[in-house]
Amino acid sequence: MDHALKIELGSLAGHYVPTAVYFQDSDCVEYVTHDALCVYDRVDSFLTVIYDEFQKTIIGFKLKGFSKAVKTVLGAKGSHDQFLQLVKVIEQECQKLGDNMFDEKRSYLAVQKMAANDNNCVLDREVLLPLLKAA
Amino acid sequence: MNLEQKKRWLELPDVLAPSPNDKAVLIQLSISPEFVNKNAYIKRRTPIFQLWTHVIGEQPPINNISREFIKDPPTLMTLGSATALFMGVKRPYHDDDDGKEVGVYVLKPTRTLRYEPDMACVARACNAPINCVLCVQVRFDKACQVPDKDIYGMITRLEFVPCDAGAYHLPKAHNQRYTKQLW
Repeated sequence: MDHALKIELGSLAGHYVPTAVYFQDSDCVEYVTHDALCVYDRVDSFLTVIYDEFQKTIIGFKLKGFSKAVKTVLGAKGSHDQFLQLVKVIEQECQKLGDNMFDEKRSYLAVQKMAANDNNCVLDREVLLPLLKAA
Repeated sequence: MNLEQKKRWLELPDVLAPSPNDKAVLIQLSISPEFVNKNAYIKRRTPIFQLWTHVIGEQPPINNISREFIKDPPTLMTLGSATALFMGVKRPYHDDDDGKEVGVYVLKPTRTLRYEPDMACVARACNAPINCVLCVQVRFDKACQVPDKDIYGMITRLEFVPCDAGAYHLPKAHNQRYTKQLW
């Protein structure tokens, strides 16, 4: 880690901007609209909906278990670099998804629909896997 | 403030926790640097403050934080205060289809910290949601163990989750959500 990055990381200045992040250690992508006290409500093995502290408003989502799917797509010859590239694609797609869902001009219905759509998550089967295969 | 002082709040120490096999025995766990650094990089500080307060059991080393620990302070606690430990998160976790080597320590803090900056401090004490428990996820698989340093697992994240309607110290639907309860 270079000096500039260390300074940037250590700084408590600056504002949070909603960002989809893949956490490799916990194998999930998380997107929240602001840096707040969050309550995580599991929907199924793929989707967790994130509420604000009052549990009235959905402020984000967590999508879980990408590692194995990505490795399956890459096959036995897949390298770690390719894995990281695909993870980047997943992050970008989750970023678009989150930005669209939580755009103030739109409603939160999209995420609520995902939550209601138990075990049939749109992103999982209809968007994500073809995307990975194409990449 | 120099670089060393600036990054101290991101240098989370290893912690002691009750063993999955025997609650009376303590084991050492590391805290995922990835979880800390990526959250810091995107400027999401609340989970890091909560790690300091509820897992390490100390005030986060940030300017003027002692102000928040005078009246109605956040609940300082460690994994030694866990009310339960579950094993197996029933979801794909790397190469494991069921996350069977992932443990979840359950804590019940009443006050917590969140990011809320003002002229003096960037953190503010607040009530934890009364109908929630704090779940701390730990990977116990070999990749997260460092035998030379006596580290038996890695804390990968922490989350407030709704509690069970019949047992306020346990997560909602814990019977379906986890493979087994160890203690």
